[in-house]
Amino acid sequence: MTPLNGKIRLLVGAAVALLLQLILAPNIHIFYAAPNFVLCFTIAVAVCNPRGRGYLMPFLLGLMYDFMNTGTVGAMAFTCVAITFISSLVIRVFDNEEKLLVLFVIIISVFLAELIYGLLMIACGTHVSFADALLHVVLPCGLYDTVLTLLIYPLVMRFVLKQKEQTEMTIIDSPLD
Amino acid sequence: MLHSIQNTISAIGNPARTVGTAGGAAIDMGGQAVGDMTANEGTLSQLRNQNKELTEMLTQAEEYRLEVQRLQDLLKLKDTYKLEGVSGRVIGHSSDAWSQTITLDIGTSDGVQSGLTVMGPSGVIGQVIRVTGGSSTVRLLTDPNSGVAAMIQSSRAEGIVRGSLAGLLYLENISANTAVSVGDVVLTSGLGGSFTRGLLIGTVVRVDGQTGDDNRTIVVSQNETPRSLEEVIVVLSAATSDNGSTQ
Repeated sequence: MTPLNGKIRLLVGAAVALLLQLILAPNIHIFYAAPNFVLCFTIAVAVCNPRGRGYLMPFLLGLMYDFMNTGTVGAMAFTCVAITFISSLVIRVFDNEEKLLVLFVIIISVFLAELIYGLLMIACGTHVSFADALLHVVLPCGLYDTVLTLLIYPLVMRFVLKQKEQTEMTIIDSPLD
Repeated sequence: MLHSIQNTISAIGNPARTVGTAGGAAIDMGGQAVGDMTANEGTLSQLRNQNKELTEMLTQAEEYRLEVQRLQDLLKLKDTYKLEGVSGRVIGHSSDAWSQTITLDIGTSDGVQSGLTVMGPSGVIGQVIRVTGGSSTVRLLTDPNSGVAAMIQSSRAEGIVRGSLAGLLYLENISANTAVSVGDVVLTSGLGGSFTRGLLIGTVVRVDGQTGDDNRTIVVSQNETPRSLEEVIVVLSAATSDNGSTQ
């Protein structure tokens, strides 16, 4: 896979995540829980490719999500960048990409991202209490997104970051950064 | 006299006519059955296709019938409240858990502006918050960031109806001494000018706490279920009566 190919795959993956968020997400709410394909894709890429250090794609994806919704502009962009940094850092620190660690990092990252976004929304003036946010959004959405990320992860690994070592180079050298 | 005889004979002849009709139908069915038995594969295939087409047409006709019914309800609402408005179709819902919005297929080209009140067939559902040329985004009353100046119809006590993440509406800022009971009708008060005055929001379904209690929780049940709406009206103007309500 050439570096250009890797970049295109990543961009196509990001575009698919955005389309799913726009078209599919509004129709698959489960009670209070709404899926966040953008966040799931961002975390899956960060976990699959912890040495990538590509922050522009998560930022742009998050920003697009913010524009698509009525929340505070920049909140999801910040969340995506922060969670990319944290999740890839954890895997790099442990220097271990075993399935159990990956699973653990995905679960923690999703809930942490939902929490960060929730805190940002409250800080920016959304009229809800922290307990309400935790009960009605952070926990149900975290659970939903965890399942989605675990489903997306092998797809990202297989189709987006087809040959991992080469893609790491691609993302490190990516002009998107 | 002649009419009576005519009617009597006609009445006596009716059962015979019925039998004749039934007999005729039986003969027709018999003929049809013979025809069916002798029908070849080509005819059957043609009939199946015809059946499919007719089923599709019937489904489409039923859709049109339901749409006409919904639009008639909206027209009735316009007449009831003497509203000037533009109706639009719901083409999208919010995709995140933090907001509750819908997208309409009407925009600035149809006269829609940010801040206008949006109604379903039996009550207020929200307010336009974003408009483009051909579409507009409506923040529903149940959105946690939504706040509507409201009043209780019977006591005229004013407060604010707020949405929540759970999708419930809470009536807040009502004076502690105001008696509120289940079944009280809640209307928009028009205070602040953000919503048209006198439009129905819903009814009080739960009051936790007694009169005099500052921490009373009053839950309002919305008259509409916005999630299931397909067409809505964006209120451009409403005739207001002397007592302030739009009736």
